[in-house]
Amino acid sequence: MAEHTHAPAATSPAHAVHAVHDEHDHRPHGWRRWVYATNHKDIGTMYLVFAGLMFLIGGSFAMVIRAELFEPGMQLVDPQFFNSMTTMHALFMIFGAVMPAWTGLANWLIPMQIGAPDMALPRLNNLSFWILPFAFTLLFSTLFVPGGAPAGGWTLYAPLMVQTGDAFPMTIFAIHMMGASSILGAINVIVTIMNMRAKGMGLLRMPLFVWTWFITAFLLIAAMPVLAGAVTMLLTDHYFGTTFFTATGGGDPIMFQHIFWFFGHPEVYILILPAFGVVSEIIPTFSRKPLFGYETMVYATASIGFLSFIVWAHHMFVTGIPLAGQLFFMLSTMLIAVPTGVKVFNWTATMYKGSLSFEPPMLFALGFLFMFTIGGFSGLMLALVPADYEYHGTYFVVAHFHYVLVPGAIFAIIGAVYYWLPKWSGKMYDMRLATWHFWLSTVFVNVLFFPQHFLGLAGMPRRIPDYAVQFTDWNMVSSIGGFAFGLSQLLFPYIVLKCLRSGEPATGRVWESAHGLEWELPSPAPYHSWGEPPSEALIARGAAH
Amino acid sequence: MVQKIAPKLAALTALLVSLSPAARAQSGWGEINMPRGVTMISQKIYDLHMLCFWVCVAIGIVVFGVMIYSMVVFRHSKGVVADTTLVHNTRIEVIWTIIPVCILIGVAVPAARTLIQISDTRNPELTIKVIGYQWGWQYQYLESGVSFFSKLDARSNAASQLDSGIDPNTVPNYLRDVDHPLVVPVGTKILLLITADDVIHSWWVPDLGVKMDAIPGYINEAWFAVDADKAGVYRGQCTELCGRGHAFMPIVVDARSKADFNAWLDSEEAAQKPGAPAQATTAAPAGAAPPTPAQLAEASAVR
Amino acid sequence: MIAGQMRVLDSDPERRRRVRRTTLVLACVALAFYIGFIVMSVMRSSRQGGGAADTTAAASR
Repeated sequence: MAEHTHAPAATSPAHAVHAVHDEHDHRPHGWRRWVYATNHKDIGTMYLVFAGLMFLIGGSFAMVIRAELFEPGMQLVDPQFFNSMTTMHALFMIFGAVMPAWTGLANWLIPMQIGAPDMALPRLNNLSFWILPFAFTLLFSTLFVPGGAPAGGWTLYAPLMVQTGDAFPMTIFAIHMMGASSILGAINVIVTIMNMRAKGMGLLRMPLFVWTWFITAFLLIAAMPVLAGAVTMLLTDHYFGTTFFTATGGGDPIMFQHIFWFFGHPEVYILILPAFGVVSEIIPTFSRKPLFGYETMVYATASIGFLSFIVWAHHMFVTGIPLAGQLFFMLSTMLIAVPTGVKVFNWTATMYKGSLSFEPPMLFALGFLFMFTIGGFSGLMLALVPADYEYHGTYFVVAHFHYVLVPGAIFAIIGAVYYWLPKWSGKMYDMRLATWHFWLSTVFVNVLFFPQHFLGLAGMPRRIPDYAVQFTDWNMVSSIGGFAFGLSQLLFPYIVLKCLRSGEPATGRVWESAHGLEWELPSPAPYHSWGEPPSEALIARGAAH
Repeated sequence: MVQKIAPKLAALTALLVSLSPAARAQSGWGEINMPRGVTMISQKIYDLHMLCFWVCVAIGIVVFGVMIYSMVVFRHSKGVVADTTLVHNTRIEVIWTIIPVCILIGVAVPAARTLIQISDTRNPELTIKVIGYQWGWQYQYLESGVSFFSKLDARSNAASQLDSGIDPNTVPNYLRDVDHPLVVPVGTKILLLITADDVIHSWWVPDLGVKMDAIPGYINEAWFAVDADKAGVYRGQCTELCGRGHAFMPIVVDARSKADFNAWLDSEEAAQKPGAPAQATTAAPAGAAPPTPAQLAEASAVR
Repeated sequence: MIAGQMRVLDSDPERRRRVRRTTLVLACVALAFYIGFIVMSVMRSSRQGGGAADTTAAASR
């Protein structure tokens, strides 16, 4: 475009050198390429494919839930199996779809964005990916053991969780494996960012995706071991006679909730912070304007990360925690609205006086912006303890966290794939189909989740397979939205596969005003991203501000 | 962009329209907001909920307004050139940090006030111990010693079996009826001591503004006082996942005038006296000869 | 197979040391959180003492 001031990527001297190096690389082929993978792009690809697969499996669990809830009465499944579905849906979506998708994106993008050839710990990277298929095979197989899959909810609350059948130790082992995988992945991210940045790539020059992942990785390292500790104690309660959480033995069921949510609340920010990073990359590109308030964004992300560790008991307002505790956690929770609000305002200010175009990544980023804000509003309402006495444990909560996770985290992941796929594959996808994908997703995600606000306020608890007849109408609407949303997602793998098979070649820059080091590389990006570090001039040019 | 906002506008309009009392029909379509309830606390909660809702709507209009304005006006396709110098403005950033803080304080103050009232469990006039089981409730009137179990009524239970063939719409108060409701007097401060026998449950009646977890090993306190002119039957259910029968342990509170309540309590007391004739005990439907937890478990296992 | 980043690390033994040190520190932090929360729970339950007596203690909070 005329106003575009950057030289085309293809003339960059850095990667002329780079291409020469590339020819020396002897990469393994066939199955060895994947099983022995140490290349950040191969591992990133595996993470993303795995996440997509888990998204479809977790989504089909959700379809079972919405089918049973289509009308009152028990038509399809046993209540116990229904509870297994809600539990497995959450575990697969959180630990199987969203977290691996972010790790996959981190693998693909962080080395390219900081001017590194690869992740700092490539063998560890291989290990942290390959733990996951085993963890989820184990978790999936609990569907077929006596007693059925875990049915105590993804929160695994004691003492209900201890009533799980043969699936109990399998679930706990699977969670330990997922946790180990996440921790290893997080260590790799931090070590890479701290040690592998090209000369001249100062911390405050890093793209926001790198920044948000950097903070996310610290949250992971502090939070995942706590979950591991909690489930270890559940295990010893069940098999080794301890009574950490068993009241009859002098234990304390509330203690489990404190420990779980000390993990659980940072966990929800682990799911959403990288989404902030992605949106902070996409919106400036398609507004043709640098991100508004880059440093504020970094500080806001860091303060959200810090605050996420001191709000956990807002999940426990109705457990009878003392008044002072309720007041503290109400105020600390409300405080999170401030940095989150700053981020939303900054994105809005980035668009203001920009020059906007609406390619699929931008559409998904805008969908994120609107609907994540709606989820933020219901989050603010939930923070008010007295009101939470009515909201807690109802579909209002379900609507809230699905608004921040589906049109929040999931939309950001889809937007990220549409943004960087041409860079990864060297091919353009069908933008018209992707636009369809966006509109279908946006319409139906609202049909699916907006009525759940009504259901919750009107008194429908969550995690119930059957309900009083006055909830029928909105449940039907929600189920129809659910089926349609689920079907629309099948477009996504189709669009990606079609792109890989027969997409038009993409340029190096791909999007005319994309900034950042990854866009200085050719498309598809070379096997070892920056074999020779980028020049400082290139880094300065790529910096977002 | 019209398509973009259309679903939200439609939803918002539907919400606003249905908020008007006239539109709140008996059908499920009108069931979109929190009930005002029948206690001082539930009404305060409702007011707080609506306050926060309208605050969010107001913020939403401003924020979404600027977003939509930007999307409509600053379009590349219209040949608009971006103002790339607009990347930082300390003054406006300070403003949009401080304004939310002020709004939050404005909402937090009434919330804290209400919370302090909710926590004030002093001077109850009647104390009832509530015990959650898988899957039913036990109520013990501590002053009089009256005690009984309360579980899903037989018609709902039959209709809610997998492929029962019974249309739930034909069952009155489907999943919202129990064999023995909790009977309470209106205009009386009632303290609930809530605990559980097996796993965690949660005792919730929206109209009373009470939700409190029932946790083994803990005795949680909650209180309510039904407005003196609001005698009636109020329904709720367990809100903490407690296993297979979680959806099937409703709560029914029958709030009666003080005189009616005292008459009911006297008859219960007489029926439950250890010396009362055996046939009288079996004849009295409500609360007589409370089943042991084992019996209750057996009865629940039917479902 | 990992020639790309090996070249970078080999060319800079100081960076290699830093990578190893950061990794070990982070692993220790993770381990500390894992063990710390279990130890905390053990200490909490031993402070309360076992048996039914402490259920009332917990309840009266």
